[in-house]
Amino acid sequence: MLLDTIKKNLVVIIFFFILGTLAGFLSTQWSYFSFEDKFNLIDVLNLVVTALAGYYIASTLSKQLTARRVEKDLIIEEIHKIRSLYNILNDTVIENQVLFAKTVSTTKRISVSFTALESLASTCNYNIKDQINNAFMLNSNIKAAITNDPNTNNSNFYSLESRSIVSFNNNYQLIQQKLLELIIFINRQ
Amino acid sequence: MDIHLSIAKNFIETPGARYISDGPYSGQLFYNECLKPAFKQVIGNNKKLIVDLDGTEGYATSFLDEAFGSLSKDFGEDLVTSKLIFISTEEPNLVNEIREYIHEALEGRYSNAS
Repeated sequence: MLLDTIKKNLVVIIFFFILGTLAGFLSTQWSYFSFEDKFNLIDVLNLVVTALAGYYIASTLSKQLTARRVEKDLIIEEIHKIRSLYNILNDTVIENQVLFAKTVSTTKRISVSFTALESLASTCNYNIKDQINNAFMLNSNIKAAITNDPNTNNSNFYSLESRSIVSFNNNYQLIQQKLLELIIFINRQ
Repeated sequence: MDIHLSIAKNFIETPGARYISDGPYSGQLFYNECLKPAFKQVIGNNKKLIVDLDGTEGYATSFLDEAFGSLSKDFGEDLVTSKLIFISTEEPNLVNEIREYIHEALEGRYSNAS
């Protein structure tokens, strides 16, 4: 990998080598600064170790941090998608003209998304099982509020009773809050 | 040999609401025409009824509560839970929901009078 990096940047390396050599030569010609013709072995070792540490940070550690950030962003993006699906249900309840097929399929999409989210998080070594279980419980309440209303039918649009709307609103606020807390939790890991 | 019942393949991919009066492919129709007859085949023997929940567009709470709640009311929670096996890879949590409907059936927690 180091060899590949060197090959890729050969021209740049040669340029800076020449520049460094020229700077060194010119500095010996002008005697404003004086240089000792001895060197301290400890200082040389210190320089080598610092250079190697810099290389490690740049190549390995930086890559790990970048990979971790990508994983977090992926998970957070999936959480935002779920939040958007809940917003679709919320818009339906606000209008109070529920279309059965679309509503039921949206609730399924949400449920499937939660399962996929837990799997993705597990792949990235985040344990969010408790949060997902809590979310499933709230999701069941939301689904019941809009698909178990006495007016529920799959022939026409239907309007929800007040108690269903109240139940939906309470659980909707809670689930959105829990999803935001999950985003913060993932971000802090 | 166990009895397999796939809601998507043996009934419909777009299950409806609770009662027959609510529209086509209701939970009540599914119970009368598919679930109850299938369940009767596994009573009094070692067979299980395997219900596959995958492959549909989704389930309304009213559909599942009517279908499985009715099963619990008619045959008893203990018998139903001992005889039913669920397949639900798309929505694993659906199984927990249904178990709750089976348990709550006699308390009438979810049922709504039409």
